[in-house]
Amino acid sequence: MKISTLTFLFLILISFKSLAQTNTVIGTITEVKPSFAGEHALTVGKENTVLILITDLKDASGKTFEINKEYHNLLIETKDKTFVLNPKYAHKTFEITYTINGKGWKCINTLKAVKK
Amino acid sequence: MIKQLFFSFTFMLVNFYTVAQSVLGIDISGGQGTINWTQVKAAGYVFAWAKATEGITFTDANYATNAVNGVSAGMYMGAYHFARPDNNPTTANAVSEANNFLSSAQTHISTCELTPILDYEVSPSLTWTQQTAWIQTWMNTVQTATGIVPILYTSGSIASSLGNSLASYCKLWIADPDGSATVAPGASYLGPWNPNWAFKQYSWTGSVPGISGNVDMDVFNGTLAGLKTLMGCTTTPPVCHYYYANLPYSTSFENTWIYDSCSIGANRIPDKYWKNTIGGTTPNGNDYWHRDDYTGADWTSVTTGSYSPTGSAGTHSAKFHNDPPPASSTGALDLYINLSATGTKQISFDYIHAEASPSPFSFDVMLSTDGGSTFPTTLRTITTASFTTWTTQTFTTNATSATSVIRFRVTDKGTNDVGIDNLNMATLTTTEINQLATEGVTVTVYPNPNNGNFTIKTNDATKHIHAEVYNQLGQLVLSKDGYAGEDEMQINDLSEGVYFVNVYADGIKIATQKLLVLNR
Repeated sequence: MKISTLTFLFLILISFKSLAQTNTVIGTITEVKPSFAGEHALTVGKENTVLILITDLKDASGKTFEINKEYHNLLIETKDKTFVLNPKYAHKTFEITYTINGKGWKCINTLKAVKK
Repeated sequence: MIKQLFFSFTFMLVNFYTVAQSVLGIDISGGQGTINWTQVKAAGYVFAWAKATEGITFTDANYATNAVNGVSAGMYMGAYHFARPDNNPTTANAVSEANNFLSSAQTHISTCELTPILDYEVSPSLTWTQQTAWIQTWMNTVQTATGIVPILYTSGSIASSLGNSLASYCKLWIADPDGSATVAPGASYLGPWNPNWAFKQYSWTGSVPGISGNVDMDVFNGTLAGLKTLMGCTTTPPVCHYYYANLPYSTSFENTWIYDSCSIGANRIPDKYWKNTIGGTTPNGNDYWHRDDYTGADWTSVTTGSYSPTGSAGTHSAKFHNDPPPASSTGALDLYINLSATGTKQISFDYIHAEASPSPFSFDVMLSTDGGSTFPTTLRTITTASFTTWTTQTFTTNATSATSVIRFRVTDKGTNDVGIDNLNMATLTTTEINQLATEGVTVTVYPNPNNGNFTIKTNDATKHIHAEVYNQLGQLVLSKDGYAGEDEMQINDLSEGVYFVNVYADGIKIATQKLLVLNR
């Protein structure tokens, strides 16, 4: 396969990524609880939107997540092996983008701290 | 940037390798927007589940579109139901959830398509025994309606906690998003299903051409041939996916017609059991059947020659329209149907064509028993008569081929359109067959009035005649069998009075005659 063909396919992939139907919710994270198959459900904002935080498989520890790098430690593991919100992010208001996956979950893509 | 490109190319090459080696699929929901299924198929994905319903009332607005377009692109498509035992905890609720699923998905469920799924992932306040019963109830309801045992989608922790009975009843699609399409799920993930699993969901963050955003990625535990066996494909399905309807089958052509992926494209078939073909020597774009209200560019001057009312049952019908009418303009609409059941099958439909003696004109209902390769039998032909109102056509066939095709073919040089509606096909009961056999048998009782001696005569000596005579009080006063092979019998010595004579042919009552006996 020619490099030019690969480049074209790569650009197609990138274009689809950029066309993702991204949604946004703004608010504080009020609850963290275990979700399906080891993932975590975050309740966000006044509407109590439930968002799913997908574990980053590239980190074998299973303690980081598929979100922008600066918030990879959004949750921390406690002694009893459960995950809770990192205290430094408590009461912080986030603008969170998410997309809906094949199961209808609202999967978090990015977080950005915003001023209240 | 160069490094990023290198890793991306490497990822793509690995992805292509994986696609080539494994039977891969995806699962999607309506929230992912419009999907280009042609691109998904072209990327090597074989199967896909689309979300159909959730709970007792929710339906995915994009499900039907995904189901139809996926099949049209050549994908094996299935439907899944997102269980909500947290909101609907009783087994009666499970039945309601199953019925919600069936109301949306049943028309798309068949053998040689992807197995229906119960997506079980929420945590209700129920014991594991109660959850097992809930799941089993949902499964039973869907199996009863479709004849297919659904597959359970769930996580390792849930699978490990459910009762062993489920593992011996249904197959498992395990959520194990470790990113690998080739590594089998661990034993701890499979619970009582270990070591058996049918599908593995190996990623929630895949990229697939034709779909925006992250995509759930799945792999089948076996070869493509194994997948077809699992789905009940008895033969290799044709590229364009013919499906054979089972008896009884009926349609009044009310639903929006769907895309015909076989050869012609566009929304030209009433449902997935049909194929739209052309067979004329000079076909043009108008030589097609459509639902009567079709407005595509390949039907011109659609109001010319239209019939009224547009449906005999409901508001729509199947209409053959040609404009201008070239010589030997021919179009055919083929119904693929399984006639393997024993017995006589009856076909009936309403027909309209308000035009006297167009030339040439022929409406033929033809039968193929070899999947549409040949049509050696013509079941009904209409050539000249003008049917200005809907007229029911009824006839039978004793064909027993599971790959039968009923062709509705029009050859028309006339001006007015041809319509069919209210199509019904079913296997006849013995009583119905007997009733059919006695159709056309006429009875004459003479003389009437008489002096107590009279004759009952029919026009068919092959039928066994039996007569019963009742008086005005409803009392049976005489019962008599005719002689085999004779078309009349004598009855004598009735006393004066008024009687009612019931006449039977081969056990079926074909006439009741009032009789007056005078002046004995």
